[in-house]
Amino acid sequence: MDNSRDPEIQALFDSAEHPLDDQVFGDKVMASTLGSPRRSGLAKAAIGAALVFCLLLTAPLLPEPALALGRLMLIPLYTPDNAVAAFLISPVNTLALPVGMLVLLLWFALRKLSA
Amino acid sequence: MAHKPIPYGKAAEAMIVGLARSGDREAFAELVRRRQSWIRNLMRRFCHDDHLADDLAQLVFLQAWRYIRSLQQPDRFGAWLRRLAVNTWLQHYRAHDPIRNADQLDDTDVAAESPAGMALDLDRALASLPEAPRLCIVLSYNEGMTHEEIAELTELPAGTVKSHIRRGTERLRRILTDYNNGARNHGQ
Repeated sequence: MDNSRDPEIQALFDSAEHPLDDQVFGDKVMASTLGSPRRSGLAKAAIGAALVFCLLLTAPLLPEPALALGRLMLIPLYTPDNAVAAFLISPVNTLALPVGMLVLLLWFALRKLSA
Repeated sequence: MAHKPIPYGKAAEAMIVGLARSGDREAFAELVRRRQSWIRNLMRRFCHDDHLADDLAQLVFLQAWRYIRSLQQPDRFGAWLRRLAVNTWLQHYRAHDPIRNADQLDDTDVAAESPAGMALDLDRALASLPEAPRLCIVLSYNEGMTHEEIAELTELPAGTVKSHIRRGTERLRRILTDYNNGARNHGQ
């Protein structure tokens, strides 16, 4: 494929480049990263698994509203951005919530059946 | 308290990327220092709006911070960052102007955009191009990418990329000629 470029247009591009370095921009970027804490895939999986495990342990003792609250606690771990990041970084981590929820659902179903 | 950056001097970028991947904020700040001019200029070429360009550049670096762990080859940081920049621009464009047909080059406004005697401004000339041709032209002339690389990055067919670059170049040349003729007439 012909990748040749017009030399006059190329010269225009080359001469139009001007440096844009300032501390303010860098500080703004770094401030925005502060509001975007990165949890490692492993840490997120561990937190999710621990919460699911706690729910499973305490489920028989808790009233229904407390269980609902417990389920809600898992949601912040999987905001859309984090879910994308988790999917990109660690498939295992991405599976933690669905598997955890599936286990919970099975647990509730068994409880209902045995009641 | 004043923030005192760690002096990385001329440390290799790949090493700094490695540190940033492990969560070192100072290392990432150094990457922002080194790459901000390039990304901000690139965004200005794409969108012809300095404030929007800086906002989008900030978004690019924020994405970079979030996903830098997924970068497997630290020595490919530049190409990876450019991909993030292009994707950020495409997402912004699609979200804000989904109806406009970017595949068509409308020649009707060339004269209006380049009146005789107009101070030649590359960004203004680029702004007269529709989004897709402008993106291809910038990636070709500003970034030195081949047509195949642009096609792969933008997910446009290679023939379309080639056509955008050829017609976009012709259009920029016409603007340049208009400007030169205008300047010559003005000088007489």
